[in-house]
Formats: sequence, C-alpha cells, structure tokens
Amino acid sequence: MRSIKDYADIVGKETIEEIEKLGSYLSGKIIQNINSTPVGGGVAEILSRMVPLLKEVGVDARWDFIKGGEKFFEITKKIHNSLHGVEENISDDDFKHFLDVTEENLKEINLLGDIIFIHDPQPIGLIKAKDKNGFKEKKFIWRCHIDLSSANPKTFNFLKKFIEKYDYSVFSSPLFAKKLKIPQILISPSIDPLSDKNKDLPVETINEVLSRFKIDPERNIITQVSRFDRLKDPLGVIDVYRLVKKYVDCQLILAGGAAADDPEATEVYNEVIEKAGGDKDIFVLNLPPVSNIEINALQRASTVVLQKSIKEGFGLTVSEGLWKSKPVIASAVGGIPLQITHKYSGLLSRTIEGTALYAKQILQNPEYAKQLGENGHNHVKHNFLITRHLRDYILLFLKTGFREDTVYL
Amino acid sequence: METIAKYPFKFYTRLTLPQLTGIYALNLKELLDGIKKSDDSIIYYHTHHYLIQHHYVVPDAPNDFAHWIIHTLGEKLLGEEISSIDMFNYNTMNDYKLELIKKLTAFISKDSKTRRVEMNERFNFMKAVTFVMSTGKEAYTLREFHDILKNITIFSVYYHFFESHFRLGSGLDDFSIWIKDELKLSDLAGKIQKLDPYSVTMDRLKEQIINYTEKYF
Repeated sequence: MRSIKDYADIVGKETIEEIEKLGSYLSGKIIQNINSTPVGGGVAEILSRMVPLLKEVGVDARWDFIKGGEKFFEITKKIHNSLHGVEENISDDDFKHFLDVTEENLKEINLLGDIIFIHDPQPIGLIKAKDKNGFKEKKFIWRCHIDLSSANPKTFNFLKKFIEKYDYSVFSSPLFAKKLKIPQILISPSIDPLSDKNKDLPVETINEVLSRFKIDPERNIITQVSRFDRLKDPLGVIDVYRLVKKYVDCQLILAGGAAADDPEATEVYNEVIEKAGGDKDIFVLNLPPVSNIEINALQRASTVVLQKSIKEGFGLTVSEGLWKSKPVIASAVGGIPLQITHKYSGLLSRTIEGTALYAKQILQNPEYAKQLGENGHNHVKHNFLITRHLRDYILLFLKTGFREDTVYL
Repeated sequence: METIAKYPFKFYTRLTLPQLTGIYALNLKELLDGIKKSDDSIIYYHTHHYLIQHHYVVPDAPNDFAHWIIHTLGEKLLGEEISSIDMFNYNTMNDYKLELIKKLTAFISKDSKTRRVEMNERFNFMKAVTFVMSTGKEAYTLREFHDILKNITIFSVYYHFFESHFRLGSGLDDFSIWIKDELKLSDLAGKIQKLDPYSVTMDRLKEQIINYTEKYF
C-alpha cells in the first residue's frame, strides 16, 4: 500500500506537509463519497486511491455505493451515453425506474457524512435527502466526471433538477460544464505517479515486454494507447504511421483493450487488424485490463506517443505519456489542450497529415523531442499528479464551511 | 554575531480553487465586457494562476488574457501590449483592470473586426477561491529564514512576494520589509525588492532570494 510520504520524493516534502496541514482543518468532519460501484471504471479507480490518501492526512473519508439492479444500470449507462451526446432512447418508464431506485437507496443508505460527495449521475438523486430534518446542515457536492458540453437536453434537464439542489458542483474542465445556478468548482483529474501504469520501471522490465511482443527496441516506436474505439481513431493512426514511414523508419504500436461484451470494440479491433494488412512493423495489442505494467513499458519504450482522438474526455493518457518524458502529439480536443501547450510541452494536431508531419519532426530531431518531453513531464508534475488532486479536494471540502471567496484558515 | 529579530517572520501560504463564473467571451468585445464586469478575484485569477500553473517556465504571455489574445485570437500586437503591462506599477487590482480596459478599448476602436472563435475556444472567466494558511514555520534569523525558504512551496513564496504587493497596497513584498525592519539589512532588502517576478519563473525567483540571503550570513 502506498503512503502519502512516498510521494515526497516526487513533489517535495514541503508539498506533502502543506497537504497534511490542510487536512488537519477538516478534523471532526466526515466526508462521505458515494458512487455506484466499488470496482471498475475511472471513478472507482480514483476513489480507491484518493480515500486512503485522505485518511492518511487526517481526513475522515468514507466510501459508500448505491444499489441498483441490472435494469437500473442499463438506464444509467444510457444516461451516461446521452450526456456524452450519443443518441439514446430513454423512455419515461426508464426515468421513473431511475427515480424508484433512488427512493430505495434513500431508504437504505446511511448518509452519515458532514459533507456528502456524490460522484456522477447514478446516485445524483440522493440530494432529495437534503429536505429532510437533520440534513439541512450537511453539505452536498456533486462531482461530474463527464463532459456535459454536448449533453442531450432532455437528459440534462432531468438531472439539472437534482444538480441545482446541491451546494456545489465540480467539473474537470470549463469546457465540460453547463450553466448552473450553483457554484461550479474546477478540479482536473490526475494520474498516480506510483501506480503500476506510471511508476519508474527497470530497463529489464521494458525490454522483457518488448521482447514478449517481438518489438525491436533499437528502432523508432510510435505508440497510441487507447481502447479500440472509433473516437480514438486507430485507423487514422495507421495512416499517420504510413505517411511517416515513407521518410523515417519506424514501428507502430496500437495497444488497447477490446472487451468481449463490447461488440463495437471488437468490430473496431477487426478493422484495425485488416487495415494493418499483415505489416510486420504494426503491433496491434489487444491487452487484458490488468496490463498496467505492459502499458507503462510500451509507453516508456516509445519514441513518440500519439493520442489522435476525434473526441475525448479529459484524455489522461496524454499526461501518462508526458509523465514518462515522452514527446506527445495529440488532437486538440476535450481536456488535451489543458495538458499540452503547443510546441512547448507537446504538439497539438488536427489532421492525419499534421500529426504525421510532427511525428517526422520529432523522429528526426531527438534534441527537440527531449525538450518537449522534459517540459511535458514538468507540466504534469505540477498540475496533473494525484497530490494536486488531493489538495484540491481538501480545499473543496474546506470551502463548504465558508461563504467568503477568501478563507483565512 | 547574527541579528535576532524581535518579531519573527511567519511563513504563510496561499492556495486557490478555480471557480467558473458562467461568463465567457468569443471575441475581443466580449472579453472587454467581461473584464468590465469582473471583480478583483476574477482579475486576480487570470493574472496570477497562469504564473502558478507554469511556475517552472518563463511564460511568453504572463496572464490568461494575453495568452488567449495571442494564441486563440491571433492578435499578436495587442497580446504583446497586454503582456507588457507591468502589474507592479499598480497598487490595486482595479487600477490594473482600468489599464487593461483602456488598452482593449483603444484597440477595438481602431479595429473592431477581430476574430470570433468557436465555443470550444472561448475565454472562460473564472475566479479564485483563496485559502490563506499559516505554515507554522517562523524565522528569527537570516539563516533560519533561508533554511525555511528552501523548504516551503512556491505557493508560500507567491503569498509573500506577489500577494503582498496588493495586500499591503504599497508595492512591497513581505520578505524585504521584514529583512529591512527586523534584521536591518537594507542592502539585501533592496536587492530582493528589485527582483522582477513577472519575467522569471517562480522556482527561479525562490532560488534568487535564497542565493541573495546566503551572501549575508
């Protein structure tokens, strides 16, 4: 189990001391996180790291889940997709079932926190408890991990009735937010520099992974790590590789997962295999979900990291690449421009041709590549590590106790 | 013999949480309107968070307004004018805001046909929710001051160097005031006062202050 002290070597002892001091101001308060699942998905992954760290800096953080059957989670999946702008048929009966399950959860769950921190739409209706006696003093925060910018209006308006009853809302980027009557705090997501996916690896491990997949460590490697999804444009990445390869020798790694229960991912994976056309220098790796060390090794072995998404959430794979001091070329979509300052801490592209041009520049100018990678690493170190995320959450919890914009602790 | 201060230097730190205001701009005119409506916490956020976020690099545009004008609108001349407004010439945020308004108004009156950007390139007005906290660290001597300075975050340096300028309304920083008044080292205080915090990185600024103090042991 990682300790908060383990991060001192990365961010400095003084940063950890500052977080611990901040945490002490929450003494006596219970922070109750509530989401829909203890495992699987980004929110559970964040909470599984954040809750122990909060506890370690003296914050009494708890973590509970709502209950819901298969039908409920099918509906919440449709709600999730619809908030992302995907056409979904959510019927009145679906909305009714969502409300019924919310009522059941309200009866069962013990809302014991002084600050109740609700994550994403599934448990959003728990805010109804605020009207009950004994709950008036509690503070409710809704943390939206989703990009709402192209949300279906009907779905959003259904949720808005709940959202605006909260004391605060939290979004990952100003671009993901919607106009609301309640305060909207901005907290970027983060990566954990000590996780298997991001920690330093011995050269032997990196070489072992390359050898296992028969990738040549002596030649240039272009890598994109993403699930097999059309929005990540893996076919476009193959076009980029082919344009680059006309001038500079290179190999391409497309590493991702294609879950058996996701028919579209399997379809995209098959299209990628077909487009690769048996090219021995294209490595299409369909990795199981637990392949964090492999992903880490592949990123560390890369000469260039790509994230050629057509649409993106925050796009934390960019920060993962930057953290490994790699030159990253990524599409200027979603949260990616927050992570890359063009030509300073990476390169932002908009087309296949542009991406190929930048890749050629990087492959032929190792000093430029090194500088981009170093700047990118520093940017992530100061802005997208879990320690900054932890500090922001503590500040958010503290803010609920004050009306003023300037708080003297 | 090392001078011992009667009153110690108490190190504080300043941390912020960004909050959306719901106001945004798609062109220069809307940027100007937004600035006119902005209170100190909004102007402060856009002029200082960039320094904090990029404190390891000398930014080409030292504030969000200039950055957006240059990199999103492509108005390099105006961007340079906005970048070069010396914040330390103004004792209040409002004075700085008025200068900003003056420059934008003059530019718009000469050339109103500036670019209108897409929603995903908009300028979002945000404000800083600020938390000021004691670090619990105190220095009575220059050596103690130096040793603590080496072990505090740039947020603390920021509070005593940037924030003080507007908090005190005198254009001075907390470090040089204490060094002059308590340790009677006017020469060192003068050197620290002359540092230009807007053209070096925060890390470099901290390093410069540490290096200066070492020469006075």
